[in-house]
Amino acid sequence: MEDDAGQILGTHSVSAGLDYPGVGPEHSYLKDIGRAEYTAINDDEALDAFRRLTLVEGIMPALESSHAIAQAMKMAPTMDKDQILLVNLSGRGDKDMHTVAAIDGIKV
Amino acid sequence: MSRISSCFDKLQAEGRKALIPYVTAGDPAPGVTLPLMHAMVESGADIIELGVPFSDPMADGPVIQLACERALSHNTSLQDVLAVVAEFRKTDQTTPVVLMGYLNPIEVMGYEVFAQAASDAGVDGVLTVDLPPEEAVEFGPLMKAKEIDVIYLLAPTTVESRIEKICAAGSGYVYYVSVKGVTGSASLDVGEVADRLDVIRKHTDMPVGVGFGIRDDASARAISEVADGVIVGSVLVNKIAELADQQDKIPEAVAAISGSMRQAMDK
Repeated sequence: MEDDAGQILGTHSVSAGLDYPGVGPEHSYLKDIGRAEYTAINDDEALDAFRRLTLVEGIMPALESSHAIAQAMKMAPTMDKDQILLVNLSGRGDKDMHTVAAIDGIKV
Repeated sequence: MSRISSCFDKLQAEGRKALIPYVTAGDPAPGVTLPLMHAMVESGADIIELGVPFSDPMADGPVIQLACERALSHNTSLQDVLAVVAEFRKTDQTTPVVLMGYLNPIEVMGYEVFAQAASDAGVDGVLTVDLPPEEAVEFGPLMKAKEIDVIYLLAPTTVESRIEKICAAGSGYVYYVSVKGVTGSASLDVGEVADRLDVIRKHTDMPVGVGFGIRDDASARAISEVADGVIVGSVLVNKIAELADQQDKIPEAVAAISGSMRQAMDK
């Protein structure tokens, strides 16, 4: 993410690990050759996914991984019942409890 | 022969060392840089390193980071920096000017467009901190085609095989980073620098400039006894920061610091 002069732009994401203005070369390559499709999830969708997985399954995903859960929640209703949807839950959310608690007004 | 090589040849014939001050272009405001460059030349600077302000200056310490912020608060662009050099060249055709900065603004402008524009403006060398020679296979030859030197950094941790490779890729001079750290770091060990320069000189006949950590007359003089060029930045930029509210005083005050180093080096 840069401006017209090549200066790096400030970023924001509720997830610290995604609060970064660049993308790694492997991801760029996979996108360019069409092997992977990339979509965007906003803070509210990620937080909703974090709460849902925590409440329904007792699994607390990292806020980074919550973005993947949010995307899965969008895709699942469009799929057949016997199709398999695999989510890589890349990190655990213990580290993000203080972030979510602050947003939800919970004292920890 | 490039202005940089002629400059070092002339100095060598006179038995003197190059004083290379660094300032960030557009710091603290666009109008300051041009008179500042002329003032530094008048007080004895041989080559000017002009910083191209960048949002993420990863090799720079807090002093030059803040200089970039001040320059970017006025949106000082690469085009603006080239315009300052072109203006400088109208009255000074001999002092080499080296642009020091990071690759992204150049990449966004386009390598070929930049090479032409830099050549037109009268730029003599380019030092892009975050461009190792392996990644410069396209950029390097485009600069050389316009007779612009590509200057690379060597660190205290650079191994000998890599020193050889970097020296082969560069031209003009080699920039030896004298400390393991960012610009403006303290604790310069002159003996250690001298030992490293001996190793570097096994691999190149190019002049070697030393920078990062030269903060006063004594360290400038000590480094001038072992290196071909003394590069000084943060101590000058600190003075610019101090006088950010009295911009008309900046050229004289900064040139006084570099001038005093010049005298110490020539003693």
